[in-house]
Amino acid sequence: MNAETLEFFKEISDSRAKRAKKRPRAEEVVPDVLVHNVARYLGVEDLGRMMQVSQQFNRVIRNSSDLWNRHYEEMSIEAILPIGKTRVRGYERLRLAHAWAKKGFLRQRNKFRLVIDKKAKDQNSESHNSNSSAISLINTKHLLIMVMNNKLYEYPKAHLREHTSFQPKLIAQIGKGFSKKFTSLDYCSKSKVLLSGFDNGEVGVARLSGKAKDGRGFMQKIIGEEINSVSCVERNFCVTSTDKLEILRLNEKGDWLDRLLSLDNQMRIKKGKFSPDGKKLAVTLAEGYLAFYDVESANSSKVDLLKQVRMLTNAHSFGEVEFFSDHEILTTRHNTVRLYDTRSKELAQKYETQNPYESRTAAGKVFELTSMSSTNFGLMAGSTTGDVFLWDLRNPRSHIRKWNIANELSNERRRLHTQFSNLVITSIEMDVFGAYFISPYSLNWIDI
Amino acid sequence: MPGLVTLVSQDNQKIEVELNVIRQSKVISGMLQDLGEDEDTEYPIPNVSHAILKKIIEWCEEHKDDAPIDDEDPNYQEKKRTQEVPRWDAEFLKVDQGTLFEIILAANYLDIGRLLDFACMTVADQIRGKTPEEIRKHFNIKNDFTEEEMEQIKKENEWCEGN
Repeated sequence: MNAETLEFFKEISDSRAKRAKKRPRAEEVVPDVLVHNVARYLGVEDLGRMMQVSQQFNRVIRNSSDLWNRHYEEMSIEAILPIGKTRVRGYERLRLAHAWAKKGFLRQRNKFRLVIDKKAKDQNSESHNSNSSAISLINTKHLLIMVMNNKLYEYPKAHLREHTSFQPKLIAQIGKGFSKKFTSLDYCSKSKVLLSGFDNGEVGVARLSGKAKDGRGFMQKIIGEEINSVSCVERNFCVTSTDKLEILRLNEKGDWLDRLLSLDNQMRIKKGKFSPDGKKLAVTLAEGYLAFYDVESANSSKVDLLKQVRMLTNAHSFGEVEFFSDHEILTTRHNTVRLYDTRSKELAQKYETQNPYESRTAAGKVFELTSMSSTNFGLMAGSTTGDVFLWDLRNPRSHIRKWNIANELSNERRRLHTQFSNLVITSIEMDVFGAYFISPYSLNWIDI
Repeated sequence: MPGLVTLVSQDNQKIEVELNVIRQSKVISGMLQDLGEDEDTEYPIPNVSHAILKKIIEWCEEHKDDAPIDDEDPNYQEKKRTQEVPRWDAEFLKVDQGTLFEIILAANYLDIGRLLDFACMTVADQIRGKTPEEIRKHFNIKNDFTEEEMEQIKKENEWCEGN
């Protein structure tokens, strides 16, 4: 126990002694620490009632997000959350999440970040050399899988809340002598396949089965040049480079990828992404073109180009692409996330944000949304300047919350982030319980 | 006698206690490490009264053979949430409310995890399912919300009622 805590208790006992003199003991105010400790053993419903007791109770419970997080953890483990005598099902959980958000529990609970490589010198020199080295984050039910500094790590999500000092576990590292770098990463939770793309045109396929990894995996050369995106759903795989699009399928034995479609495109290909059911593939191209492919039947090896449409009329192109539902896609461009309906080929919604920096400043010039993630009620996007925005899906006009990772850094760490390239939020993942995002040297976590 | 340490309570009274008994308090075992296990040294416990300190020592005596707990072990955290207060401890904690609160504060200050857990569970059991008014009565505190605030808070907490 540190000096501050001792001081705190001294203060409490002093004030209690004073109060005891003034009035009968029965009327004594309950100390905050007692309220907090007792509340640890109460259910969500009782916490709500405790908040109605008095100003002090309200303040203590409202400000203690760990009390509420305990219930989130239960929610993530069990499909049904028992509250009192009733049991709360899926949509109710969402309602609770909303209620919590309204109460102000939507915050960066823990200024938690991991700095993967500690030496400042190494970091700066490396970032110069490997500006193109992508870093990526995958959010599975229990794990975060990420590529940072050309190494593949895993991090159990439960540890975010309980053991913040835990260092991520290294799963794979490119051996010395190889110059290849990770460029992209995707994971399919159904087939438990982790797909990684490299800058020499190879892809790595590995199977992560539960806790113990059986270590089955292989490398296959797909394209002769740098891979800029990979996507996989069950046995369907998509690999893109600037001018090539390959759609592949994992063979029955699971040790080789068969080619379904190989396409040389005249236009620059940016990203390819499968819909959650794996039946459709959206590809972003230069000049605002979007192409959709139908990969419907798992048995036939036929892939049809459904349509290729130009969504933006100017010469700009989309950055990221994600499926929002089976017929809607989200795309980023500059400071806007656009939601397109692929059936009507029209813009369905526009989630905008203002450039938070003056346009003359360096930050203002580089500001751009780089990554995004969505759930049923919210949309988050990260940017080149370390800003993260959150939108309520019902209210597209402006974001409801904004964070900046540089604001949360200690001075020592801030020195490592002098370049904007070190602040880029390259990947963001969001679920009902929180959001996780990474910059080149830190893993950040916001609890919702 | 070897293996004894002297604790000095808030009201300057001395209590002798066996080392292996009081080691359950992380604060005191920390002090022992810092100050050395010298028999002549007196260890001040400025926030705990004599009566409560005696109660705490009684609890520690009973639990001196328990396996040490690892707070960081997720299994323990899980178990803690679901377990019930053991019978002996439930009996031990059948005291008036003021004493129970003092025990919680002392256990928190001395960092005796299990005692804190049991005592808090006992209080939580007492208030579980009670309405805000009943909780107020239990803790003997006044409703210091204004009417407007009360209305607002009730509205905010509608979600936790009526399920």
